[in-house]
Amino acid sequence: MTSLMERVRAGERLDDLLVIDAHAHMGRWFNFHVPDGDAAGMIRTMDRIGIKACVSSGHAGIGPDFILGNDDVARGAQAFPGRIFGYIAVNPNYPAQEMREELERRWTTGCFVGIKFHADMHKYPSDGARYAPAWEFAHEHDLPLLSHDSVGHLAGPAERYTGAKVLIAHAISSLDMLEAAAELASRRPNVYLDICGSPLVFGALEMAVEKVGAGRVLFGTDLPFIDPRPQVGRVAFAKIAETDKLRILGENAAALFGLEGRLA
Amino acid sequence: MDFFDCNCMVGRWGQPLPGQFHSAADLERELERCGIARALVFHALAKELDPETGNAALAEDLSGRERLSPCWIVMPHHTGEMPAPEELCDRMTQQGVRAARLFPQAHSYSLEEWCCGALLAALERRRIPVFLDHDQTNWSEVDAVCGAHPALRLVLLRVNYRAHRSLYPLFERHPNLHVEIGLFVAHNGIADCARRYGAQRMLFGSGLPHFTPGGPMANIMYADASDADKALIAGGNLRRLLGEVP
Repeated sequence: MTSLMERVRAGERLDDLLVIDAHAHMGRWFNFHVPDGDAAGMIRTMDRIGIKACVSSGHAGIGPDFILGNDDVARGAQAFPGRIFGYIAVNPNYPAQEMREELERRWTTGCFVGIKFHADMHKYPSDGARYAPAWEFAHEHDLPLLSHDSVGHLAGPAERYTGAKVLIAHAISSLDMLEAAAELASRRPNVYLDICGSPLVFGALEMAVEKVGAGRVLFGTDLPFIDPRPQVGRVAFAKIAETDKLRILGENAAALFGLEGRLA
Repeated sequence: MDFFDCNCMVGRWGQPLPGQFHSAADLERELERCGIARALVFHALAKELDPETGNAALAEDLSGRERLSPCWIVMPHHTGEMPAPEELCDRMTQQGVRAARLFPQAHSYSLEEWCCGALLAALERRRIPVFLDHDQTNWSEVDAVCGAHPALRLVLLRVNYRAHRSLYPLFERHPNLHVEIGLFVAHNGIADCARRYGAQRMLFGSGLPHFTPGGPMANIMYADASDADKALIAGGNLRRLLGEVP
C-alpha cells in the first residue's frame, strides 16, 4: 500500500481520507496580504488537497469585530454546507451580555460547532473573568473551545469547566509550548493539542504524539491566514504510525466536533 | 520530482532540540527518507564560531558525500579573518564551492556598500549565488544590495507569509532576487508568486535539521502551478544558479 508520505510527495489528492482542519479562519487581514481568503477560495484550496471540512473563525472575529467575523463564517457555512463549520468568536472587551447573546444566537443556527478565543489579539487572558460566559457555555454544551493563548492561562478553566474541550492553539510551535501543553493534557483529559503554526519544528509532532498520544493531537492550519499544504506535509512525513496520522488528520476532529453524518 | 534542498546545515550547534541531528550521515539519511536528491549545506561552526573554521570542517564532513554540496559562510575581509574578496572567490572555485551565505546580524557587520561592497561585487562578477536569511537583514537593505549589484544572484531565505507587500515590489525592481519557500506559507503563495513573477524566482529549502522538509515539499506538490514550474522550484532553479558559476 502506498504510504501517506509517498502520496503527499506525489501531490496526490487525499479525498479518500477523512481530513478535517480544526483551526481555520476566513477573510482579509490588516497585517499582510491573504490571497483568495474568502470561503470560495478556501474551498478551492481544500479541494486541491483533499481536505473534507474545516472549522473556521473569521479574521474579523479574532480582530476588530467578532459579530462581523461570525457573520462571515455563517455565510461561508451556508454557502458550503458540510464543508465549512464555524467557531463562535467572542471578544471579552465588549459587554458580557453581547457575548452571551452572540453565543446563543450562533449556536441555534447549527453552523457553529465550537468557540474561539484569540486572547493574544484581544489582549485579555483566557482565564480572566470576562471570558466566563463563554467558558460556561462551552461547559454546558460540551463544546470544543480553541484558544490562542499561553498554556498557563488555560489550566484553570480546563479544570473548572470539565465539559469544555480545550484546544490549545499552536501547541507545538516551540518546545516550551509543547512541553507545557503536554503537561496540562496529561493532567486534564479534556485538553487537546492543535498543531497549527508556520515554523514546522523538526521532531515536534513526533514528540507530541509520544507525550500525549495521537488521540489528543489535532490537524489545524490557519487557512487562509497560512496555507494548509505545509501542515499536510508535516503530518505525512512524520515518523509516526500511519494510523496515528489518520487520527490526527481528521478522525479526532470528527469525533470532537460531532461531525459524523454532517460532512458533505 | 527531483528535489534539491538549498538550505541545510551540518555540525554541532548551541541549541539543538531533542531528536534533531547534526552529522552529515544523519542528514543524508533524512534526505533519503524524504526523497530529496541533493542538498546545499553550510556548517554550524561557520555560523556560530568562525567562518574559516566552519568552512574547513564542512569540506571534511562532506567528503565523499555526493548528495551534499558545500556552501561557504563568508564575510568582509577587513579584519583579516577572511581573504580579500577575489582571493576568497579563487579559493571557493579551487575547492568546488559554488555558493556563499551571509550572516550580517549574527556576525556584526553591515551589508552597506562601505562594508560589503567589495565582497558583493566579487561574488557578483563570479556569478556565485548568495544566500541570506531574512532575519539577518531588512527590506531596504535587500533593495540596496540588489540595486548596487544588479547581476548578483541573491536568494532570501526563510521569507515568511507576511512578506508580500514588500517582497512583490522588490521582485518587480530586481530580476535576480529569489526566495526560498520553506517559510513562505502564505495562502496560495507559491502559485500567486509564480503567476506574477515566474517560478524561476523560488527555491525549495527545508531548514534541516531545524525544520521538517515535508512542509515545503507538500507546499510545492499541491501548488496550483504546472509540473514544469514545480520542477523549477523543487530543484531546477538551484541547479541553474550553481551551474552558472564558471
